[in-house]
Amino acid sequence: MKSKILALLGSALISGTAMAGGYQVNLAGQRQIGMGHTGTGLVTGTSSIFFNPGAMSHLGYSGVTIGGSALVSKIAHSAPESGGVTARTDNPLGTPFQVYGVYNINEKFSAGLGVYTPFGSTVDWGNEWSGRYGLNQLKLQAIYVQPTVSYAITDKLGIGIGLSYVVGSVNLQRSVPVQNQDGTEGGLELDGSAESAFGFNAGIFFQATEKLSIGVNYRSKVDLKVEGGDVMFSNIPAAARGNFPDGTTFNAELPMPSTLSVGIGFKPNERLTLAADVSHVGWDAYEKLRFDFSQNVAGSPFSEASRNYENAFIYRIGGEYMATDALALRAGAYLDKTPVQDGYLTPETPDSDSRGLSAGIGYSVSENFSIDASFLYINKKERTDAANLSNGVPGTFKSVAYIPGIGLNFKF
Amino acid sequence: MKKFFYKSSVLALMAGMFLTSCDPEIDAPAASSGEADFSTYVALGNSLTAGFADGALYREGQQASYPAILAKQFEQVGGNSDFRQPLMPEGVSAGSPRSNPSNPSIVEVPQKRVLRIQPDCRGDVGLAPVEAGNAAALTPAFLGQLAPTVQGPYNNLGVPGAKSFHLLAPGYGNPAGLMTQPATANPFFARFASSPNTSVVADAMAQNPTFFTLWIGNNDVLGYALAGGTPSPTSSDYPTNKDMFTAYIAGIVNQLTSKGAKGALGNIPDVTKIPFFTTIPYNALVLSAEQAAQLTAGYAAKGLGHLTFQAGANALVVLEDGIPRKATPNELILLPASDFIKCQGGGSSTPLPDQLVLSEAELAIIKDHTNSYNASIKAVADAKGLAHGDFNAYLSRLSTGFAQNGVAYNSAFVTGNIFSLDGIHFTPRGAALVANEFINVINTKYGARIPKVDETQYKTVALP
Repeated sequence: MKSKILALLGSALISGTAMAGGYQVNLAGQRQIGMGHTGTGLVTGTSSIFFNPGAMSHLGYSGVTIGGSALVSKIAHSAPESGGVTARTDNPLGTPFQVYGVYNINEKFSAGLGVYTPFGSTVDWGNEWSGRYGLNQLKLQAIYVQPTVSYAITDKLGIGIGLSYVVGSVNLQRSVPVQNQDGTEGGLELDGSAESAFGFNAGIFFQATEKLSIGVNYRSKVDLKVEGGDVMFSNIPAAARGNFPDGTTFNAELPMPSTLSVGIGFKPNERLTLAADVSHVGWDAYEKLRFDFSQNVAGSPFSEASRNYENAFIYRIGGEYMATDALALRAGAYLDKTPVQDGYLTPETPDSDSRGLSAGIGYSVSENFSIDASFLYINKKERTDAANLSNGVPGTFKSVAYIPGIGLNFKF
Repeated sequence: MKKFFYKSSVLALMAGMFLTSCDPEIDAPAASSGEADFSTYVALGNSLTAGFADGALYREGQQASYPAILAKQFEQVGGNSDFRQPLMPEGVSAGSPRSNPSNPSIVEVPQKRVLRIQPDCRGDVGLAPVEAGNAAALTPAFLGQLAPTVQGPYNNLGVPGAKSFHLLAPGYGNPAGLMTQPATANPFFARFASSPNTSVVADAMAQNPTFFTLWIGNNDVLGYALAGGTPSPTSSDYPTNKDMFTAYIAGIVNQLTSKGAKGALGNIPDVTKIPFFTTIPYNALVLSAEQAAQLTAGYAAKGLGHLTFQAGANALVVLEDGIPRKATPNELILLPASDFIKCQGGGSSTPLPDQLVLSEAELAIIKDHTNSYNASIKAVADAKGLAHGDFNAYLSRLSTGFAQNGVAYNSAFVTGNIFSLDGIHFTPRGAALVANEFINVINTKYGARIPKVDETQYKTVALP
């Protein structure tokens, strides 16, 4: 059974769509997705590797979790004064996943390994819409592999830290405004793998009373750098080919921003768990999107567009109710404030304040095996922007996403 | 266990089907016609209105004329979907009639221009706008080949070459008037005039229009500019008398509004901002030190010692009233001087003739007339409660350049994306932007909500 599921995950495309603020994808654990993605102040299970390594030593068992989501995202665009929807994305199904394994070494120590995908984006606008010279398609992937250790200083206080090893890739396609005799347009594709990068994920967990727990978690910024990525041109008229030379490569850099979270957990009784988190995301690291070319492209050795993201907060609440000893019912909500300032909207992440509503169930099949299922609905505020500061595409954007997910938990 | 997974995958599948139907929507205000009625729209004007492009009238240009684009947008607010244009037959193009260069007694019609990669007069291989084929003699047989492929009455009444008063002139489309000396008719109107003695305005009014656009007056001043400002005040190419223009424009609009139609007027761009006049800089004479010395000596030998040259860029030498002098930074050199300068010593050992240069005095005449015409157009629009498109301002904005949807637009030849290969008329993209300007002012004037067109769906200059 296990191998089958793993094979399924392996065959799926590892990509999420930018459905949280910016290009962050907060889908790190099925139980927590059901609870509005809270978890900094809780012992969330093996997923504490992500949510708060400080809580991992309080887990009290060894276990493995495998989970994944099916991310259906849709974005509509209405060009200025066009009177209606003028373009829709045709995004492929995103499949962000998570695998966590925790080994409980002794009462004090535990060690674990997490593999997850906190950033990523596949947005496909096609090559006919009015913004095609800005973007046809962007595929951004980042996979984090995070070995983690946690130490329980006391039975109330735990600390933990993980080293994140990050690999990623980017593929960007857009139309080039040069026209052939038959009316077809040129195309540009940038494709590259990021050099391995490192970051860390550290947390403190404090079980203040039997009912109340508090956690603080910090995930560091990671800069993904592409060196020598391929620049490919297609369908460029002969007369313009000198401007778009074959064999060009590019360098680029994209920050995966830091996230500082504070969370509390509250258990008013044996059956009910409530949680609230506040996260601060260091989006101001994303100032610009710059591609440096090995040869001049359209007469310039680089292409640069301002982003000037602002730091942003995410507010989350969630709850879990044990309807029976085996069945958990969960619900949650969050508000993810946009890091994108007015004038800087872009078609790759036409971001605005994002509202998430989630529900989930957990079912313990046996002592050692349980299943979590979650459903998250994300609705981003409709946003109209001139996009005049980002070289973006002006107009009104509206995004929604439907994200069912399932996770399997094995206890040893 | 297995059963559980089977069930959940069926559920997931059903959920997936349900979800694909939940597309995000954007509520936009509904399109509306406001106080205007677009059910019968007619467009009057000159070559810009006809969809003339690349130096000729041809089908693709007509299909992307700004009135055709406007009509498509008007359809969404009650406009008729049958907007008729006197379309040229497939594969046929006809430029403005001209004298055959080697036999001036023959009047010929050039074909449209295309870009080719070929050697220029110096043998340097590069991108060049060239006529797609040989010009045809203007004969009744040739005119017969230009017959519209669509039956009238025609909503697009744009006539290439028309000046303001031509729209009022009966017989302007009379084939008999084409062969007289001077011609009293225009072959482009003769193609589609409803009868020999009708006028453009009469053909418009016969359709009982509810809405019109009128963009006329460019040729009233452009003919003078294209002739390098050489026509004398008595010539028919001299700018139309300012007071007469006021009367003509009022006369046209009076008729067009006589049955209660609403409409929009466009004013005249500063013709000196189009690529035809701005592509060749005044100091296009680039010399080596040796060439400069030779040229200086050559003019000194002719007793013109004040004409001296240096290595690098020099002002072109122009001939005015028989006397060679250097062009000033404010003067404009016409695009057809290109090969003459490049290969025949034009502007160097041979001064550029007056008809290839607009002097400051000539530019002042153009400006004075343009301003006066535009004041008249504005006054008529205001008096009649019509929308007014300020294309003069729009073209000024274009000459500094702007970006829209990731494309840079400016008034540069070929690369500016607005002007076609004649340096005067629009590309389809340029026409779409013009249509959106018209929509802007119509929406404002009549409280309408006509959707804007996606200009990126229209072509720019096609490259080989």
